[in-house]
This record gives sequence, structure tokens and C-alpha cells, in this order.
Amino acid sequence: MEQTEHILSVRDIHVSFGPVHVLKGLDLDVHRGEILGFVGGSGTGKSVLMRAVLGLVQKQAGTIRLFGQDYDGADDEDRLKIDRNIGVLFQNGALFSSLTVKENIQVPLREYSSMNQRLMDELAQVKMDLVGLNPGSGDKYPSELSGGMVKRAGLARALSLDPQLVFLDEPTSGLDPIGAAEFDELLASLKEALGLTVYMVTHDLDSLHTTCDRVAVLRDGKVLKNAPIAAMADVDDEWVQTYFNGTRGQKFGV
Amino acid sequence: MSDPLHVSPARVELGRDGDTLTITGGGAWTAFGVEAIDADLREAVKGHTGPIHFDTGHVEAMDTAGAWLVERTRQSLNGQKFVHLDDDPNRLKLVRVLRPDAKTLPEQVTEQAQLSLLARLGKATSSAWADLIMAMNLIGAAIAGAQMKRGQKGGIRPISIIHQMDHMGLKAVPVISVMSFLIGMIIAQQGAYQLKFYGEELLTVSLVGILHLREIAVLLTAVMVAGRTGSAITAEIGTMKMREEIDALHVMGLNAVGVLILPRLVALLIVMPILVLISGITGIAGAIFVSDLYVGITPSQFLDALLTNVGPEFIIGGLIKAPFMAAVIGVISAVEGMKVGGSSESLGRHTTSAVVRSIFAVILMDGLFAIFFAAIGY
Repeated sequence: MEQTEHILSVRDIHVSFGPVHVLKGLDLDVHRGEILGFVGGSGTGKSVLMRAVLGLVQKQAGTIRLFGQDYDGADDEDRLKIDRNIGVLFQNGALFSSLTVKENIQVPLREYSSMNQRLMDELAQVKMDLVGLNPGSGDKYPSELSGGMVKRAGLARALSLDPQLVFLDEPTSGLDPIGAAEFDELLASLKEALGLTVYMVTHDLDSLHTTCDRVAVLRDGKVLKNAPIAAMADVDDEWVQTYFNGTRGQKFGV
Repeated sequence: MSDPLHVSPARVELGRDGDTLTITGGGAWTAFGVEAIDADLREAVKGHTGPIHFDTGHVEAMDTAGAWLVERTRQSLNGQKFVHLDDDPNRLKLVRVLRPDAKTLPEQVTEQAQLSLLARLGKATSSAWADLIMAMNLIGAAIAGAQMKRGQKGGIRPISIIHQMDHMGLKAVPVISVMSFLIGMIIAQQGAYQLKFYGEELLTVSLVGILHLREIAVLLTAVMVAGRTGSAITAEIGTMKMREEIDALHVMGLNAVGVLILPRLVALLIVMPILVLISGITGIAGAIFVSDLYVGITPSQFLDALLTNVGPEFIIGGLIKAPFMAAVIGVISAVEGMKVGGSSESLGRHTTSAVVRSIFAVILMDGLFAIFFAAIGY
């Protein structure tokens, strides 16, 4: 797997559920080292695309290349490599409810490496510090965590193998503005420090303005525009205009 | 992109120049390889009092696991000089990110694993008492508070009850019929075989009739219902508890016991006697089939003997137990469901415990009924 500029490229992807055609020939490229914000109205298929890329939803047609490699054509060993270089933060955290936070973070380490328990404990602690979880929460169970802590713990687990590409499904939903801003800063600093590429499905205008390098807009099953947020003002589309220039958008003066 | 599967393993070389310790790393310092050098590094730094030069310039790949080893070494120092050499600014940055304001591993809090026998007995007793109280609360709430919390509407929900009856009753008919048919066949065959030695094959009819109608049918059905329906009740209520759906019902002003548990209890109370009756009939059918085949008692002989020797009191004796068993299974399963905590593990534990406890309670109750019937001379 050689260095490629496009860490993820999706071509002409079609996904439908029964008669409902959700993605209609969608193309998307994610550059190495950027934070891409993916927006679209509710129910337009933002999460469907993410799940299709992750192989959780069957696509009817199209190709998905991760790290320059076609996932469908890859053999088991290559798939394993791809999988190890992807981290996912699900919308509701998807933490294993019967494991503590620390154990959750250690699951990938335990499965993929032969580390001793002491080193794993230290590394889990390191990741928890990275995402800003206080040391005491390592022994808590997911049901004892607040919403913000669940997101952070989920991110720590997603980062536990130092993936190159991280998928975030609405990471700041359910967080207060301060917590959301902290999360955005965290992402930016992790991107800097770890060289992460981030694919972020979000509704949060603040996130889009402060953290995202580019924004992709999903309209009618296709990517309508994929550009820095400043370019969104020129897009001739009612939904885009309402989204970015509505009463909530105006404070940013796009 | 670095390939985590095919990298040279992490290496470390230690050199001493006076009191300066030089650590030179090589290979890939990633989560997949640092295990190999973890102990060496820990050992080398322990008790070292001089300056340390840490050179990771020749390390092929580094992720947070590798960076942590550098940062950990720095943290272990007591104020002596520490130099980290690396020509890649990104790695230096990565190590710096791991530098906390105050990082201390929290003290491991381990619960006392081994409780003394007496303490465990005490815990078990007090939790059994708590369960009993909870079951009583639940029955009380089901009877008294069946209406909505604020009493806007009548409590019984016919649609919900019929839906549950379909699940618990109608869909259980095939399995219970087949099982009872087989058991009836087995009892008849075994009984006839033994009684043949005395030339009293016809007594098989009384044996099967009394045994099956009075005891086996109800026990068999109860065990089946406990395994089939009890576990479902616990899992359904437990999942709803886990996902805060019960809390949601509560804040909507609905009584969770009335909405969820009462329909299930009522449905179970209605279908259980019907299932027992079906089990009785199919069991007898199995016996008729085998008796005809095996000892030559024709169906009409069998039915004649059955009607003369086995009166309706045996059927009633079996049926009367059914609602009690249904109530016990329903309440135990619901209580276990309400006890489910936040994790999927606790859901599994309580589902198992619901089935085990229901079956145990059902057999215990059957014994109590036998004593009771004997005492009143039924």
C-alpha cells in the first residue's frame, strides 16, 4: 500500500433499500491529512455512505478505494491492514456495555498485539489523556458515563491502534457548546499530532467552520459540492443557502 | 502507508558513557512491536541517576505506543537531564502531545474478591428478600396500578393482551403438542411393558391418565413456558430497561408495570390452562397410539377404561395448578427483567436466572400442591 493522495475515494456508488434509492452514483475523495465535514439533510444518506464505506451496508454498484486499494478486490490480509488503519466513532459511542472504559480501549490492542497488561494499561491511560478523559473514568462502565464522556471514550477506542483514517458520526451531537468546542479543538490537535485524516458526518456549523478543511454537501444521493466552507456561499441551491446562510448560519458571515 | 504486518521488530540499544545513558531505538515502534522492548526499557531506566540521551532517529515507524515509551522514560526521571533526539518534527510533536499536566495512573481499586462463606450467605439471603419484596411490589402494582399513572384511562389493554397471547400461547401449541405426544407415548410404552408381567395391561390407561393429566402435563408445559416465554419476558423488559425505555414510559406518565408487565401476566394466566389442556389431550393421544400398537388395547377400549377410571377431578387437579404456575413464571421473569442494569452481560445473567428460578419454583409449587391435595383428601 503506497502513499496516495486520496486516502479514500468513492466512485459512482449506488445504495438502495428496496425501492428507496438513497445514493445515486455518488463520487467523493478524501485527501490525506484533512478533516472533511459531510453534511446533508436528515435522512439523505450521510450515515449510509459511511456505513457503505465501512462495509456495514451492502452497495449495489460502485467502487470504494481505501488507502489506494479496492476494498472489494482486496484479499484477507490486505483487508486486515485496511481495517487496522480505520477507526470509527459511532453516533452513540457503541462502547461495549459489559467492559469498562479502559477495557474498551484495550480491545483492539488485545486482539491485534501481544502486549502485556501493564503496557496496555499505560497506553489506555495515554489515550484517555489524549481525548481528555480524567483518570478516574477508566474503571467506569459505559452506562455510568455522561454523553460527552461516551464520545471521548469512543474516540479513544477508535484511536487505540493509531489509525490513519477516522470516521466520526455526529461527534458533537448531544454535547454542550463548550464540550463541542473542546471536542473540535481536540480533533484539530490530534490531526496535527497524529497525522490523522478525519471523515466527519456532522450537523454542527461551529465544527464545520472551525475544524473542517473541506465540506462535502450531500443532495439527492450525490455530492453537490466538495469545497472549503467559504465556497458554500456561491452554491446555487436552496438547501445549501438555507443551511449555511440561515439564521443559525448567518453569525458566521459566510 | 506503513505496513503493520511486515515491519522489522522494535529494537533498542543501550550504551553508557560515564553516567550518561544512551538509548538508541531501531525497527518499528508501533503498537504491534513495542512489547519486545518494553521490559528492557523499563529495566534500563530503573535506578539510573545520570542524564539520558534518547535517540529515535533511526526508528522506522512510530505511533503513540512508541512515543509513550519515550515519554514514560522522561517521566520516570528525577530531575536529571533528558534529551530526545529525532530528526522528524512530527515524532517530537507526537511525544510532546502525550506530555500531560499531571499524569498519574490511578490507584487500582479492586473489590475484595473472596468473600467469606458467611458473608456470601448473608448477601444471598438479603438479595432473596429484596427479590421477594420486589415481586410483591410488582404484583401489587399490576393489580392496583394497572391504569395509567395518573388514571386517565382504563387499565386493561385488550390488543396488547391478545398480541401476547398469540406469542405465548398459539405459537407454543406445536412444540407443546409434539412434546406431550412423545411423553404420553413413552409413559404408555414403559407402563405397558412393566404391567404386562402381571397381565394387567389395561392398568396402563389409569397410569397414563392419572400421571399425565394430573402432573406431567402441567409440569411439562410450565417448564416449556418458563424456557420459552419467561426468558422472552425478561429479555424484552431488560432491554427496555437498558435503553431507558422504561424511564421514557415513566416520564410520559405511563405506568411501566401496567403497560408492559400486566398484559404479559394476564395473557400468560389465560393461555397457560389452555396449553395444559392441549398437553393433556395430546399426551393421551400419544398413549392411545402406542397402546394400540404395542399391547393391542384398541382406542375404544382405551377411552372406555379412561372414562371409567380417570374422573374429571384429575383433569381439574392439573388445570387448577396452571394459573398459579403462570403467575409465578410471569412475576419471576418480570422481576429479573426489571433488575437488568446497563450492560448486555447483566441482561444475559438475568435471563438465565429467570429461567432457572422459574423452573425451580414451578417444581417446588407442584410439590406443595401435592401435599395440599393430599391434606384435603382431593
